[in-house]
Amino acid sequence: MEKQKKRFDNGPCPICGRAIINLNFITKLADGTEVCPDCVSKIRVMYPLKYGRQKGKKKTERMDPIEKLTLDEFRAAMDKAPEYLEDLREKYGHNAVYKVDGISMYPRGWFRAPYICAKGRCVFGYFDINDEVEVIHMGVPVKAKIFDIAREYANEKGCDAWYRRGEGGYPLKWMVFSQKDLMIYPGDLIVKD
Amino acid sequence: MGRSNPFKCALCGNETVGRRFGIKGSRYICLDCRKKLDKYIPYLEWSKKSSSELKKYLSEKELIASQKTCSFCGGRIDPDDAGNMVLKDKSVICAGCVESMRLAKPVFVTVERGPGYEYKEAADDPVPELTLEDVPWVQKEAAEERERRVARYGSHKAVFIVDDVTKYQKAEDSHQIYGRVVLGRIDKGDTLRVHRREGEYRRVVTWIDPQEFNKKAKYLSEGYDGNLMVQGDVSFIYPGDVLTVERL
Repeated sequence: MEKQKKRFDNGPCPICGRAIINLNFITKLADGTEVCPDCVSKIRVMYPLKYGRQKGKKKTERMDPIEKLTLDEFRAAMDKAPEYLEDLREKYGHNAVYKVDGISMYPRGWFRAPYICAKGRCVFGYFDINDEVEVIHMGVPVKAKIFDIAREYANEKGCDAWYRRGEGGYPLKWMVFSQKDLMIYPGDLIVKD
Repeated sequence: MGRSNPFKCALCGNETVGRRFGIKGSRYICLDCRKKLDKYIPYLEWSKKSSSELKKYLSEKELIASQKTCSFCGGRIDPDDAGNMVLKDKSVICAGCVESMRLAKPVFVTVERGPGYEYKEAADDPVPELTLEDVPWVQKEAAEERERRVARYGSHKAVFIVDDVTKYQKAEDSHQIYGRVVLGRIDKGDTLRVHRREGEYRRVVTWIDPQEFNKKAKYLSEGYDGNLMVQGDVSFIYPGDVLTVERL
């Protein structure tokens, strides 16, 4: 006897019409409508995702400003997003920008380059493993190669963190470099052209 | 060597002795039915389908092969084209007529759990549920939608909206751009153009990778999603970008 099939979707997205597949993380807007992750990624640069601890709570939570929008506001934000992105590109002058918030280093022994883990957030653009980037410290660029990337909250269920890449508006747990003579400080910019 | 004990073919229903080929649901089909199926789909695909699915598939394909002209436009039907469809009233329409309706009746693609608890793509196509009488008004609806899109994006060979950009790990220095074709049709070798404030960037499409249900398609037409493979750096392309496509 054939086993019963089950579908994993919550109907069509009100913006693009694609299926909202509930195996991924679904964003629920303030008026209760659900939006697919593809539409959310288009305005994520304007409303960056944060993870933080609220007062009196021990557990860190996902703080998504998009969840406070209504469907009309979401549609208006989609129209404004290209202009906003162009402004960011003009402001920084690069194709992708990552802001470093904190640094941790893990030595690997004699004659081996340490792991330099730069925690921070991706302002806009796209970073992947083995990408060649520039670390800008006090206006001086140094060339570097990304060794590894992990998003915040990699083990949390329903999180899009299993991606090992950086996208505009998402915080990163770390962007790892393994290179001698490379120093990164909090506040530095990592850029890609 | 064939077996001596007779068995009942799940497709034609004849009792035969000889070689048997397993399909889904622990049932078997005879050599004659296998030869018919091999004309249209490879063994690895049909062996995973049930007898009712295969019967429906085979009857549709035989109907398409028997009809030489489209019931709606009267054009020639290419039997090898995977886009030809059988409507609810058993009339056959060509791939061109199906594509002209796609803006009004897009395919709804979702994920379902298969019999082995595996996740697989499932596609609901609304076109086979139409009758031949519905085709003109659906085409009119699609044409109105197309006009609206031409007014919004301008007239180009095709317009593509980006959802995601990923690095293609199997080949060096190549990227996949995932998104939806909102207007026209994209072929291999077309040029993608991105308009930024500082100027225009161009990249050539080296390969087209459609969705699972549309795997046999050699191009991406309007209303469909898919991956465009591009050689070189694409760090200037972001989710939400509108790419205009030209044949240069």
